[in-house]
Amino acid sequence: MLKNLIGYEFRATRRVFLPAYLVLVVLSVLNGISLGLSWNRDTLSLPTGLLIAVYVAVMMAVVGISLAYMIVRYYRNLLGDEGYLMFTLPVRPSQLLWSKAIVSTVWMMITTILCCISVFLIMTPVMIAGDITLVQIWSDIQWTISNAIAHYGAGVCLVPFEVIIACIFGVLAFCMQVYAALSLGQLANRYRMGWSFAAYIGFSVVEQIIVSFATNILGNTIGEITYGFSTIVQIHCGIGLIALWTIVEIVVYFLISNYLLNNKLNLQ
Amino acid sequence: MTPILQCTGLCKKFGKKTVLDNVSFALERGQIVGLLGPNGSGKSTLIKLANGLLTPTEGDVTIDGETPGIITHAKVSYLPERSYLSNWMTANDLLNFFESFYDNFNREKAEDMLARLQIAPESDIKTMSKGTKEKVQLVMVMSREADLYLLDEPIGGVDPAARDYILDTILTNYNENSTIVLSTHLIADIEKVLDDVLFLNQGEIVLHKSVDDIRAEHGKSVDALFREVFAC
Repeated sequence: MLKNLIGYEFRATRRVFLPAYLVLVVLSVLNGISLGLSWNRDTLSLPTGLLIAVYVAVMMAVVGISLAYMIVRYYRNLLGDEGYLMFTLPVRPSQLLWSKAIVSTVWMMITTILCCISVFLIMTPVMIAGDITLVQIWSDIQWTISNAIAHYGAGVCLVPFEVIIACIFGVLAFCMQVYAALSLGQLANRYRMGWSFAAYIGFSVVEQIIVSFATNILGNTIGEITYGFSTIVQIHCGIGLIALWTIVEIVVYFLISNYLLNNKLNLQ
Repeated sequence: MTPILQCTGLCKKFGKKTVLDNVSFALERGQIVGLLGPNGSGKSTLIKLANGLLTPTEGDVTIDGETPGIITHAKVSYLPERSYLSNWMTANDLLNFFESFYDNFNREKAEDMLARLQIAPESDIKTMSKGTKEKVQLVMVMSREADLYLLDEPIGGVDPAARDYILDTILTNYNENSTIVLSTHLIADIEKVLDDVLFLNQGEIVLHKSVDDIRAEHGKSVDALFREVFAC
């Protein structure tokens, strides 16, 4: 059933994301060509400047859509009128919760990757105009990697993957925090969005307090434990701790939402 | 036999306002029951509690002995008072949706009913009128071979001709082991199809009788009795 829910969630959201992504890619290519043609000129022409402005606006809009859709889908599809159908399906509320969180995380990750690709698309014609080849860039990357390995050891190659995994957990934790806030807000009989916003702020404040306490109490201990470790091991430990914290966030916020949707659902 | 729907001391409050107060009754299988009451009497709240969309303040509601949840959702077919359809879907998407989640959904029956209503499978939900959306929703709900149908105001927002179609659809699409609970304040239109009635007033059950008993004991129709009980 989770697979079905995820499938329908993708179908419901792709009609917004796919056209937005297409516009971003087209604008990136156009901007790349336009900037490539403007290479070596002292000032940017008006059409080039306008294209850059539109590109920046579209990129911001795509990022905004990813965030807004995460909130809107949960609020409208589960806590609005559509919730009458979703919560009477023979599925567990936890499955509804995971389907929303997984699909939102996937869209946010695709948006991030696409933004990177889009910058690359813009830079490619510029690089061609500036006589910089992909072979040169690749040899620079290889030089950087071999330098990093020489300094920190082969373990450094794992760092980008660790960072990506930590980012995925981070995005999932953010989704779960927003969902927990919305699930708490739906308990109110009026001003639900307002209460949800207040709950989100409340969660963030509590998190900050816990992180401050943990840093004060555990900071020295961790420092002592990792004192003799090499720099790369310390980096691994740091990323690992961040990932662990986000997993704790995911679990806690999931449990809050799951409890509220199971025991305190309030679809008036 | 376990009642298909049972409420025991059921109370629901929204803040300080009591919407349902100590409601207790049991419904057996194979009946069409009218849940009747004026606006704001707690009919929709009672149905939402039976679907697990709200949680009771006190008391219990059970479906075939189970509290509302994943097991009861498979047995109950619910028609809410408003549209729960997603605007991005077509009628065909909706058929696929119901088919993929409900084992007891009869797609052939649904397609047949949509064809009789001249609703093309490729029609977009967002372009449908309010009445058409209500019909599509009813088609989906009545195409499930459920144990309990909870229909909240199924004829509230449609024209008299459509009302006849809807009542006919309800009557011809349920089996004798199922129970239908019809919530409405338009009694005259549905009186002919009812076996039992529940009168709900200001959150309390004031009458639970068969239509035959009402006629025999009070010598009047359900509609006339309703007007008498709920006279302003």
